[in-house]
Amino acid sequence: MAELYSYTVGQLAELIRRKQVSPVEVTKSVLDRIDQLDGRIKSYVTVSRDEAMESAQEAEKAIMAGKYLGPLHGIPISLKDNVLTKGILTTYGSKVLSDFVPTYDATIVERFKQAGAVILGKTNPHEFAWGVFSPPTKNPWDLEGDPGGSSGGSGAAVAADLAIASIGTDTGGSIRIPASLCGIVGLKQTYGRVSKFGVMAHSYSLDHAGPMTKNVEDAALLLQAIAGWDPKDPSTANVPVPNYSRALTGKIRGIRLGIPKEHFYADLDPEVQQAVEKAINVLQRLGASVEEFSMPHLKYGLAAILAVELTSSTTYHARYMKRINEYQPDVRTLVELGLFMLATDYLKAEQLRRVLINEAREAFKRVDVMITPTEPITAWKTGQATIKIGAKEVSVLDASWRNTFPYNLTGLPAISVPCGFSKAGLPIGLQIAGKPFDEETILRVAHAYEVNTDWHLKKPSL
Amino acid sequence: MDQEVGKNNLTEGPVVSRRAVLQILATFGVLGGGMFLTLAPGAETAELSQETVKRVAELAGVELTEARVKELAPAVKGIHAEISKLRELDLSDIDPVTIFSLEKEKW
Repeated sequence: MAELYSYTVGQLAELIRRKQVSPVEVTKSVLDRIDQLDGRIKSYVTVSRDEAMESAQEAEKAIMAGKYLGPLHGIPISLKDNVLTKGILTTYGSKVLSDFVPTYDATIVERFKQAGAVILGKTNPHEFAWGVFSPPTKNPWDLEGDPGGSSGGSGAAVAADLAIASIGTDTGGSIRIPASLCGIVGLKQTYGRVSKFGVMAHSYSLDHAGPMTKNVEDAALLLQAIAGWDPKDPSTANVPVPNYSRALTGKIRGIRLGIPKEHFYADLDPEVQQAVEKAINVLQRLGASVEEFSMPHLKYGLAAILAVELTSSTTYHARYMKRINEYQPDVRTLVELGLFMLATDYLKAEQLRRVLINEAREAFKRVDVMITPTEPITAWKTGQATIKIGAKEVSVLDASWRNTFPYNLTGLPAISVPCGFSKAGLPIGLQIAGKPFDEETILRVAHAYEVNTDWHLKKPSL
Repeated sequence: MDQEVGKNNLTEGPVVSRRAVLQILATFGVLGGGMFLTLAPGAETAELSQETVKRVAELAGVELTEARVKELAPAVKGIHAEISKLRELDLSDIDPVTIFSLEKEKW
């Protein structure tokens, strides 16, 4: 029998439901793994050991008393350190908040607790989910490599079996980038599908909180627990939440895969291109067809996301402006840059978002999902600023969010699943995006791909 | 405000070259090389006054030291060069996504 820390949510849920495994055993197994490895991986800011063991004991008692709550009952999960947790230190990766202990839980934490989940602790983000310099977290596939961000702690923790699953946040790609670079599944659902109440803001209309997991089934299970309208968050949508696990049929015959003509396939690492082409072939063999589509205004996307993100992030940071000297230099610069955005440029960017949404709507008349590489490159070395793609030298920062930010601008759901490895042994991610509130279809396609490949089963040697 | 940041009103203070913009941005890691390549045409010759940066910061209620103004001016210039691409577009008939609610839109 494999160690319990290496199991998925789905596997453990079945064992816990049958009372073959106790939540206490599972939680202890993961905490021991953290003790053993996190000194090297540095994925956690805070491990809430006592609270986790207490929750696990409560879950065990409840289950033994016949009060099983469902698939997250007794499952140890971690949260990015910008999700408010009552009584647990929440730093947002910043010295400025080094002693901040929230007095209430974010809605997603409340929902996890209602589902019986065990909160393991808080994972390392980029400072304020912004900036360029990574936190100390290492990529489990290459300890000199970058895990990506800004949810790099969550990505590394799940990849290294230091959490059964985790929650990240995504403003320009911060769930999907580390998911791709760390070889796990990352889901950014539709804007408005999951409450952000108690999730510390970065950029109000771009922010999402979502699952980072070992497989697609687990992403569906976590989304099920946190999705739905929240009266405390006016940005949430009152749209019915379907049963996501039922979408995981393995059947995708007749699904139309959209391949974008612009933007996403430019300047790809050849190994990424090859892996994604093979993935598309797998999906075609399963009965999907391929259709090209166009979003010509994406060439203005970078300008638009910079205008929106800089402006709204700086608005959030007004409260800490007097302590800006304590920020990391890159984050400080970005926050200060937001002061110089013109309101007219900001609104032009919001107009462009409407244009992009219209172009996506047109595309979705002919396709069911959009298929792209999640990242044009694999994990770079920590501190590396540029990377060679063929003869071209590109910035890792520029490349890292190029394929992910379009789905923050449009609010569309997108998932990253592992689809291969480079010759250097670094993970490659496939991104599948869909229509608003149609997470079922992207989960269905991702799951069908996953059960016909074994990339998600590979583990780093640690 | 927009006139003050515009090209035609930036005659005070030292001229910031594109090269300096790139060096500063690279130092701070604010923007990557790929983005440098996409700087708007004309960015190379545009000027940005440190005095303007200081004045805009003051209007925003933020105190910047002279040294910080000097550091920040090229970065402001670089970001404006990128964002100015949006100004090429005629989006006069497009409503901005001021209230972002995808569920109310028909798909």
